[in-house]
Amino acid sequence: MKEKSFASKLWSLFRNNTVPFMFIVICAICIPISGFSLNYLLAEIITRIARNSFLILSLLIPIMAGMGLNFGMTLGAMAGEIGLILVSDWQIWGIPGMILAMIISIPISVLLGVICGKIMNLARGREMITGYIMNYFINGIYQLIVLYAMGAIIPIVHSSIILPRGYGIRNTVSLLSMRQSLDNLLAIRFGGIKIPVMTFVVVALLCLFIVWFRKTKLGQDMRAVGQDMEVARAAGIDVERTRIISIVMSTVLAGFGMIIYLQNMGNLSTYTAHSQIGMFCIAALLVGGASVDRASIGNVFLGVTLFHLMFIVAPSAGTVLMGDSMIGEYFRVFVSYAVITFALIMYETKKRRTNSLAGRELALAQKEADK
Amino acid sequence: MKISKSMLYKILTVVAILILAAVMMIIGRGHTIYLDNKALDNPSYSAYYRTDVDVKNNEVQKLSARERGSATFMGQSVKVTVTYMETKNSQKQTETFKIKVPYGWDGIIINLPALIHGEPKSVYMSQFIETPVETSAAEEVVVTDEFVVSDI
Amino acid sequence: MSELTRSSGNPIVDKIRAFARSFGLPRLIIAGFLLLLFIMAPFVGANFFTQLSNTLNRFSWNAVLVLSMVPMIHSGCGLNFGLPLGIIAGLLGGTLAIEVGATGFASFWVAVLFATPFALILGSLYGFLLNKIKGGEMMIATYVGFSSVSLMCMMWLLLPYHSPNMVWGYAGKGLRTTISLEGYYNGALANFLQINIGHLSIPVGTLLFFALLAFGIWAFLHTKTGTAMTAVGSNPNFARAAGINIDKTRLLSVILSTWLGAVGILVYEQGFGFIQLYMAPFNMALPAVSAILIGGATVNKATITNVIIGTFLFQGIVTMTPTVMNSMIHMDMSEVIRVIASNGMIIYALTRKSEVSR
Repeated sequence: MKEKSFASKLWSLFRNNTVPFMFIVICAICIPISGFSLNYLLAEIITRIARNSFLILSLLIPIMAGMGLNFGMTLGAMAGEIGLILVSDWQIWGIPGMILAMIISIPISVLLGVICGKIMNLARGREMITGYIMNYFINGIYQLIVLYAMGAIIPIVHSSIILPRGYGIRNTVSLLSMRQSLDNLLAIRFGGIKIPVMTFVVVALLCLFIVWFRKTKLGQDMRAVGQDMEVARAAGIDVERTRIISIVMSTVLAGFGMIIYLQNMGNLSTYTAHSQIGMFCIAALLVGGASVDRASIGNVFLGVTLFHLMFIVAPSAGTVLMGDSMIGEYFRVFVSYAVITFALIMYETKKRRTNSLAGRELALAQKEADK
Repeated sequence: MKISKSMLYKILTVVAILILAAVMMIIGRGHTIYLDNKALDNPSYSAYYRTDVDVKNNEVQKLSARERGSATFMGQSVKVTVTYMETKNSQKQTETFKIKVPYGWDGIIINLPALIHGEPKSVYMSQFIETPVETSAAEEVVVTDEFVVSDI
Repeated sequence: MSELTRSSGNPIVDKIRAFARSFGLPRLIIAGFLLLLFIMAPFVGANFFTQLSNTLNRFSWNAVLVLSMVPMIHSGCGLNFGLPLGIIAGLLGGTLAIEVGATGFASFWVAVLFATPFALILGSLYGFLLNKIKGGEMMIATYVGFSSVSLMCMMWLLLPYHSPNMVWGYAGKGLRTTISLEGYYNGALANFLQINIGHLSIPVGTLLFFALLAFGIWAFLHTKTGTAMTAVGSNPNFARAAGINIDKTRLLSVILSTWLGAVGILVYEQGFGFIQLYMAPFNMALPAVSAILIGGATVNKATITNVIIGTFLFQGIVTMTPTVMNSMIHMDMSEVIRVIASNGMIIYALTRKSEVSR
């Protein structure tokens, strides 16, 4: 009997965390095939954790408030990019440049977050697909600003970042002036691996902030709204406003996260940097064991490690196995999408199961009351 | 007008952030300084045989006669230490200068002989105007769709 | 809102107001914009009839893809963001037709023939999945579409195709990204019965084909199964009470939509002249979705008229904006305008209160 309960415990552990387990299996298979040394992988993973964690952490707050996966985090990324374009044009370098870009991104993020939140409130029950379409819509507006207004209406000092036709920003903007500025501050080099201590400090601060925030009144309100909107409304919480605030916070944090990400890259792909970032961050979070309605800080770090491990080794494993690295590249894109699909399906089926269960219990209770 | 306490906090936060932004703009302003060991026309000085220039945090620029070196720095003023030899057989001398640069200039040209001889700013400092590089690609195509991701 | 409902005493104005309200402000804006473009065209040197021909051409390519939205909207599965699945079935049919060597006009029908079993299989799996997740169809459909496109990206490299027209030259295996349909079904429908009067050229063949399919769908929706489908979408409780098997009906609608999507991409390819593989189907759902929404459909109600009006308006804007804007202000903002208009339309539709309660 004792063994059975241990086996069943193991089974339920597996069932609740299928995605991380599957990823561990994939990585365990692909890493030796790919031929990368553990040293190299360790260095890469540390860089990527430092680069991406802030962005992924920004997804936690909307999940807490019941808004699901915030596909609209791309809006914050766009705000951060606009801040970076302006700052690099004004020739503000290094960490002050980063901080200035973050400050510039705040009002843009707030505006975009409020719009996104308001529209999501109008599309109750379809928040995720609405956020997803908002991405494309606001991307159009972003292009309107960056590809047409900048240089023409918004004054840009340096013509070197303007397209030859006289207006609009080029495909890539060099961020050499602030490249790795946060990473290099207090960096420890240890056996060929660079550990960006300051970046990790910033990420740790965000984690502490999120933990503290959960305990504040606003945080508790959000959790109540996430649990049950009607009960929260009956308790006197302004549900609409709380939901909008959660999206605004997530957007602002995504803006900061994008700036941290780009200062590590050193280069801004003006029109494509933000397009995939939302999807990959959400996939990473889900790989860490999070679900559409429940995510923790542990999910973030487990997810970023596993997901990026897979991301690094897949092309090489593809070359070794099939003779074509493109297979590996398509494989990692496929896995990212498949993970999100799987998580969404799990969420919907669980929702229907609990709803029908609640319905049956209600029916049972009524039968008892009628007796 | 009665301002509630929470509103006061919000206004103070916004003001603090704006001040922070202004401070960042000042201390973060990056400049490139071009150091010319060149002869100056009026008043006329000739180039030095050899100068070693140390701009804070940068590599020491070793400049022979008529050479130009460059360095970058952040902020509004820069400390420049020059170790120079006027002619082949003169003594090595060292002097330190603190130069304040105007905010709006991206590149600043410093004429070393003028600087060392104590000329006023208007003589030794001039603005470096970047000639726009003619782009080789006549028309740069803007890529807005990129499906296969190279790296994240 | 109240000003719109107040009666002004003048029956004609009331009628206009009611029409405006039911038509929707965004659609009015888009229709007005397109009308403006058509009027401006001769003034900026673009020949009106050439533009009209271009618009009709693009209409003929896309109409069937937009038509494929109708069955699923009727049965309450929402907007078919999973259109890439149907497109994949069509791509498989098209590539197989070339692989077996069918050429010319016949190759189009061979492609449809080959695409059908794939559409049935993929549609069944897709429909089965959607039945399990009622309520969250649209988001999951999007990601099912993306996952299958990326899976097929791997497949196009691995599947044993041999036709020299399709395969990479050096390696001899793995399909090329774009495959020319010259000699195959390029223009198969369009060239059939094409009317050319001066600058005006109408692809009668393609339009006839679309009309045939549209009539078929319209007729189907008036049969017993078809009305059952509409009932399932608009009033599921009534449908269940009337003894209709909701899951089976939804499954049928999904298979129908997928098959139409497969045929739709083949029609598109014969007009466009190329088969596009790999990541091309990725974003093909959004234009079709916004087209039908522009035409007046909502998340759970769509008619054939919506398809026709919507495709015409959408393709009209896509065709006309570049030419007119370029001549007028020498700035090509067409891409950005199209993105904002089409996605704005989808957001508008998503934020409408749905008439169906679940």
